[in-house]
Amino acid sequence: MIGRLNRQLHLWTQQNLITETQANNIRAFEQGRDKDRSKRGFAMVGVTAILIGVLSLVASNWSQIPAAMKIIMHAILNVGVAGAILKMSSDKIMIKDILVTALFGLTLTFIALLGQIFQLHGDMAVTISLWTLLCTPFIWIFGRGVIAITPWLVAVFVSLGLIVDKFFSIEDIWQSLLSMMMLFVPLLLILVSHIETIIRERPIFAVVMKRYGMVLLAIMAAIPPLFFWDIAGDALTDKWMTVSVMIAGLAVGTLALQSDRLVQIFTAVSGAFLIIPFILAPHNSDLFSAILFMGYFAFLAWWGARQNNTSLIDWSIRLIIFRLIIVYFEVFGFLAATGLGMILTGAIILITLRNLNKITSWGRRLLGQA
Amino acid sequence: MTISKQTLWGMVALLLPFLLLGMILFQGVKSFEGTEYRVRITGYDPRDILRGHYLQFRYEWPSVSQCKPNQICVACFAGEPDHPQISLKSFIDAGTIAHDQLCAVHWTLNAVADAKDIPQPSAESLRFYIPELEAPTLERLLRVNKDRFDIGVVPHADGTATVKNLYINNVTLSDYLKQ
Repeated sequence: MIGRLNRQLHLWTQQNLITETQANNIRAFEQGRDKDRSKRGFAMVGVTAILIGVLSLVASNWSQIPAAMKIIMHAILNVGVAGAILKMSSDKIMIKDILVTALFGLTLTFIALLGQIFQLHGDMAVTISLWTLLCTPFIWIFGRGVIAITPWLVAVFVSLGLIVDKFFSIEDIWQSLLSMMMLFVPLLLILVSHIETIIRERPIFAVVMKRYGMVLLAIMAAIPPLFFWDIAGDALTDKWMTVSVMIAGLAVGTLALQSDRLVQIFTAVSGAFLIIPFILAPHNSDLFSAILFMGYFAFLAWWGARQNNTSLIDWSIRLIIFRLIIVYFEVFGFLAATGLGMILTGAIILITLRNLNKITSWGRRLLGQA
Repeated sequence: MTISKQTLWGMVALLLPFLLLGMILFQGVKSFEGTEYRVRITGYDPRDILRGHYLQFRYEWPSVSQCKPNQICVACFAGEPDHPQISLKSFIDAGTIAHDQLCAVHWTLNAVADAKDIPQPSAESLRFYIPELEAPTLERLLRVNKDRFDIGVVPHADGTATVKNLYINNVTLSDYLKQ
């Protein structure tokens, strides 16, 4: 990160775009930010290592220690961490976040320990969901940063997946629910991240939830044209009900995002691209699939241009190019044609790779980005 | 000393996960209550390696079963808990079972009969969590079938049962490991 920045700063000072002093100031500022980022990263690695360690100790079911002692020791550990959270001053955000994440994880390892001691074979979906639900209040009250919100978000996703798997095991309902969740989980994250109170009281939580929601929605919108043609159409017996609920939910969600125009456009278009394959599914077609995929990434490139996000533009253009190449594989059917197609495809890949930067620059120019 | 409203809410929020842990602990302690009957077990293949250090087994019920095909079977326990009289019967209704002299307590075997057509309980009652270091030894012992292996089960009034202890040659696993 800093290496790339140094190269750019060097170029800019050489071209007299910025002065040496400005370059030094930018370097010092970015180095400080980088330090904070790596500190957070290492803290996250540390907490994860400790939690995996406790989980491994629990899993090894160390036989020398009596069951009651194991329970008491783990309880002391959990109470100690909870006490530290209460005592810790609010300005030590990172340490408090680490403690919050530690208590969240230690609650799960304690559940695992009790399960082993009493040979409990409880329901995984209910246990994980209850764990997430009952830990939510303290995470939201005491947590402030990325370290606290990220594991919680992951736990929420896992709980939702397990609950859907458990309670809606009848195939068509499960499929409908899964389809709806593909849209509604990211949509809900984006909507929650725009609630005034959350932006004011937990600004980092809002930013992380918005980012996760948007990335998740983009992934979900890109997946159906690739894999969902077969699943979406035939398995969904109540397809029109599912599609109607999804359209209604998307409309309400999009209307609620009026304060953030760019996110509103992103949500509406991504949601539409997610739903279209469900509607077109009976007319299974490689061409539709390719057009939808490339259309969505063309939109993402345009959206990236509006946001001045050059990396999003570059990746979108590259994905469109590679999807075009895949079309060749799908088009050639006979053996001789396949052979010819493979030679042509290989040549196209090599030419594309050779001129990838030129094609990307052309795409950027087309979108009005230098 | 006065506690602010915010601190109070914080304390309540921190207590919630302990409430869940308390519930699980209570459930665990309660499931161990009741008379423990011993049932002989035998090894079982293939071992489910994805489930960690669980000893997998099948219950050895009496060779003569009074449970009719396509009916729900129950294992009836009576007599001495260490050497119980076990009989397999068809579950007709709760009243008939309650009046049966040979059925002081019963355990509903709701799983499909195994390859030898012997009724078994659901999968979670067919395994026992064992210490990591002793796992390979115990598994080998169970497969060789020279030592006597029993599982201590606690049947409950609702027809379910909790797997409580593992006995090797009539001593608990922890005592056996100390020898």
